Amino acid sequence: MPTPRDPTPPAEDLDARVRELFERHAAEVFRFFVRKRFPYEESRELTQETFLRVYQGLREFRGESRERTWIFSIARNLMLNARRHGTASKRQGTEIPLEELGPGERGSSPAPALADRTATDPLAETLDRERRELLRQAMAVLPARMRQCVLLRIAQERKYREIAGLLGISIDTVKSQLHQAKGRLRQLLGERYDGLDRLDDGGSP
Amino acid sequence: MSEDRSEHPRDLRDALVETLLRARREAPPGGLPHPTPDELVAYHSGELPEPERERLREHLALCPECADFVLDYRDFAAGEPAAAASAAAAAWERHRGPAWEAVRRGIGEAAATGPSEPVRAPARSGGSPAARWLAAALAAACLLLGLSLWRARSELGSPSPAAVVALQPEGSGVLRGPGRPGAPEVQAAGRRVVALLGLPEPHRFARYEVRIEPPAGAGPAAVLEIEPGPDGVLAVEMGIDRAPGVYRLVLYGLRAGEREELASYALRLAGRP
Repeated sequence: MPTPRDPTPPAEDLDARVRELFERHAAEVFRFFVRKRFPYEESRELTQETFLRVYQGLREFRGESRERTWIFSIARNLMLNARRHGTASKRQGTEIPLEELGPGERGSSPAPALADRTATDPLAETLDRERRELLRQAMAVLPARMRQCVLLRIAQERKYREIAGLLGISIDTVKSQLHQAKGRLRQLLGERYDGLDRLDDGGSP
Repeated sequence: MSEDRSEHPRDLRDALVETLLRARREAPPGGLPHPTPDELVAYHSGELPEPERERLREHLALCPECADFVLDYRDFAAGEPAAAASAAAAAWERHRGPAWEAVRRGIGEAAATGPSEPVRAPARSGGSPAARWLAAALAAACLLLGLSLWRARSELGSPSPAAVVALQPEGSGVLRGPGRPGAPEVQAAGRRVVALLGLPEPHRFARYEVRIEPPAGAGPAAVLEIEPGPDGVLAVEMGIDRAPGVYRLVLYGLRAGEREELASYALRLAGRP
């Protein structure tokens, strides 16, 4: 799997190596940025930056990963940074105390909304624990593919085509799995949970 | 369980997000055992045997970060619809020459002052702490030399989109800037500033947070979340036209909702001459 190569190529070989990698991968790197909706000019600048980083990293690139994966990872990181740069600009001038940051901004998934309520109400806590257990059991009896579709659709809020791409199945199969999951979960959970309709509400969240 | 009609229905998404969080909490120390980028790419390309594919499907259903990686790779590797492909290809034909020229120029300048011997990254494990620090210092010195040239080039009006500066943790005793004691200085007027943060230790976190504290009277602090790049670099983009003065950057590691302060850095932004 890894591409074995000399871990310490002579400096004069690096130029040629970068040129070779540029010829082989720059077009798809550029296309990647365009697909991510960057304007052509910015896509070109990001492509340039990608290959400068490739050059900087070539001396240390030991072939632990595939060359194409490595270049993609560099390009993707730049893409994420460029997007964050937009976010950073919007944040400038606004104090955001660390304690008030949302979980999504702190590197973890959203916290459960009911935590505060159940923490002070023993009855609510008991009911919630039972309800959680019921959901756990219901998810456990779903077939693996159906459970994965449900998690991707509801917890990760993915579109049908994204779920299909992630699981390597057709969009029709995704729809069918989610439709069946809705019926089974309705049967197993009754009215204890809102949001089952999101399983097959048309595809685009 | 008996049906309790007084019980308010709970949102299914909240409950399933809890499932994801629980999977993380119950994961071994260090978090979920993430597949490597190569494994994710091989999964996407259909190169893995079915038991492995199923293992990765389960992981992707529980891990938004890896799912995002796979979807981005899908965009990277996918063929375009005919119309979009020809438009992007035509655009690339126009940009290809200038792009390579800019890369070649950057390489030439870095190579002119680069080390005669390759600098290796510090090993992730093994070797004495002193050896790792020495390797880190050498790598930082090399990076600083290359980047200071890159920065000089951009100050001369080259198409580089950013002023880039490499920073080392305060008190680390490693190079702080080309020939300058204290906070390295960067000409920031009219350009975005990218600070590359050296780490005081090998990566222990998948995500980091940086608090940017501006000089007194230059506005409130801001907080950004960052991830190490594939080259191990933590890059912080500081935006355009920030007020001149000394900025302090505080780096935190993030894990399972916890934040650990790791290092601080100083950076002086110069205004228009």
